[in-house]
Amino acid sequence: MDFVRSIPLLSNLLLVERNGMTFLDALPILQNGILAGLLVALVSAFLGVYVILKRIVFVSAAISQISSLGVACAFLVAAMLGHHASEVKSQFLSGPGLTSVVFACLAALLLARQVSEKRITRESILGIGYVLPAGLTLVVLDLLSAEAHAIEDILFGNSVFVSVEQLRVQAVTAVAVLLIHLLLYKEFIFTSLDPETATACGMRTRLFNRILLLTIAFTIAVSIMSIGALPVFAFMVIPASAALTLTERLGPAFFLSVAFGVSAALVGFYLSFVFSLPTGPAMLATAGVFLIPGGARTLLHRWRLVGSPTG
Amino acid sequence: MSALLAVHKLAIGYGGTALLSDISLSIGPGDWWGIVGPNGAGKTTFVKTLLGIIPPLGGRIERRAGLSFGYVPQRGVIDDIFPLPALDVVVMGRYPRIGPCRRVTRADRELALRYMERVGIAHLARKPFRSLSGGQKQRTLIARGLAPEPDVLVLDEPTDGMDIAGEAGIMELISDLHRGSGLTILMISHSLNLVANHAKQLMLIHGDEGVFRTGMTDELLNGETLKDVYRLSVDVHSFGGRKFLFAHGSSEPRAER
Repeated sequence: MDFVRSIPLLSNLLLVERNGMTFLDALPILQNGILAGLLVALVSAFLGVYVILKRIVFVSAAISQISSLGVACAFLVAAMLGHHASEVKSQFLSGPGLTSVVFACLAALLLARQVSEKRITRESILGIGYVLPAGLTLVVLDLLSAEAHAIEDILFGNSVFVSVEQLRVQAVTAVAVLLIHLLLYKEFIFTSLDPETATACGMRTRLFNRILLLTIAFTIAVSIMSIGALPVFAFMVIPASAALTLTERLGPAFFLSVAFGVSAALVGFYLSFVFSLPTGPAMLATAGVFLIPGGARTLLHRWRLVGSPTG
Repeated sequence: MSALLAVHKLAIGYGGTALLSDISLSIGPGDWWGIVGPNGAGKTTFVKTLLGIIPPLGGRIERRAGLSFGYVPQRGVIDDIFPLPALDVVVMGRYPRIGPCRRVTRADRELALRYMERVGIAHLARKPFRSLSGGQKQRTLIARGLAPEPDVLVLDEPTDGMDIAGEAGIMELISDLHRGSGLTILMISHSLNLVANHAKQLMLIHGDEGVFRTGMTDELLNGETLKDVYRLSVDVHSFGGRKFLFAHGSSEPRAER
């Protein structure tokens, strides 16, 4: 403690008090939440680059809602069999965690299919895939109103108090997803940029596209149970968008996106403690700040174009 | 088999609906095929079926063992949202050769750069692909098509939307590639004049009319066959060793599709 007090800026930040407790004192209680938030931000911000480049932002939104419906269904089935929500919660990996992942992965595989847009557009399918599960989840929550609070904890995430089991699942997911992406980086990029040419050159485009979508679905399903659907969606979209407005190369885009995501998670968590804000939205708002440099760059570029003699 | 690619009683189309059927064809080493036909005739569908992008609805395609393709799609298919230097786009042509879980080596990058030199755009290697002009993008995609050192290079409208200088440059480049290394070429084009003066073999396609004809360009590209396919009177003239095609009005009303 004395060591921390001796570092001027750090001591000001870590020893700030809220409700009679300094941030440093609260760290042992908050550490699982912080670590889970950082892991979610890291993987989601990395995958977010693909989400933006493949123009599948609303695929990820629909997957998160379908995954939430999976959680709600696990509780509904358990309630119908006479089990209490606290029992279901204690069997997290074989219960709501499993249904969440299964629903998300099935949704990803269905949404990966090419559809003929003559009668129904892809946009409509995504809209239905987003709103229908969202509505059904609310219906299930209403049916299980007595246990709704326990379910909401899982469904919308409680980024302050994350269980050790959930943290482990989050860490294993992060390592597995990043390893798959390290090994198949070339394949994911080529099949995302130009799937037809990749197929013509002998690549198994459909397989790689499915693996990529499954890594996104798996990450969403696990992450929404740590920090909630809205912040996960934000980490999938905002850091990557901010990064892609700042660079002309893919490597730096991935790096910047992860750096923005992790920074937003850390700063957002800290601000939520200091100002007693809900953690997820605080992270989301902090992530939004990283859009400013890219937005300013774009505006400056346009202004230069207008100002130039040929503009 | 001596042919690189043989097609037997092939049926092509989308969603179970056949656009053309009973197509038989043999493509040999060193061929240069021009593929022509009206809009929506099925040219791209045919080529995508040959390349394995679309499954055939019937018949069979025999490829020589180890046959590799380089594909040059229409440049508009590359989404400008990707922040990639031109060299990285060209290196992608090497990815299928490198295989999954393996890194791109310096040799792959040097080879890609050599093909950029070959198509005259080595100086643009570090430039973002999305900032290139139409002609430069087309050359980048041709370099990518060449990067896997394929047996067959397939080009879909390589001169679409180009000015006369760009068009001449691209055609000269393809001719050089064909002459220099005996590369087999399949080229879809709307420009009958380009096909008439470069392609040795010709495919005339018109799905709606059930037309699929193949032959040597000199024999097949005449007013009569073009009238069958385009429902248009076309004169074919030769001058200074080059062919010139002139269309002069619709000879009969075209059926509404």
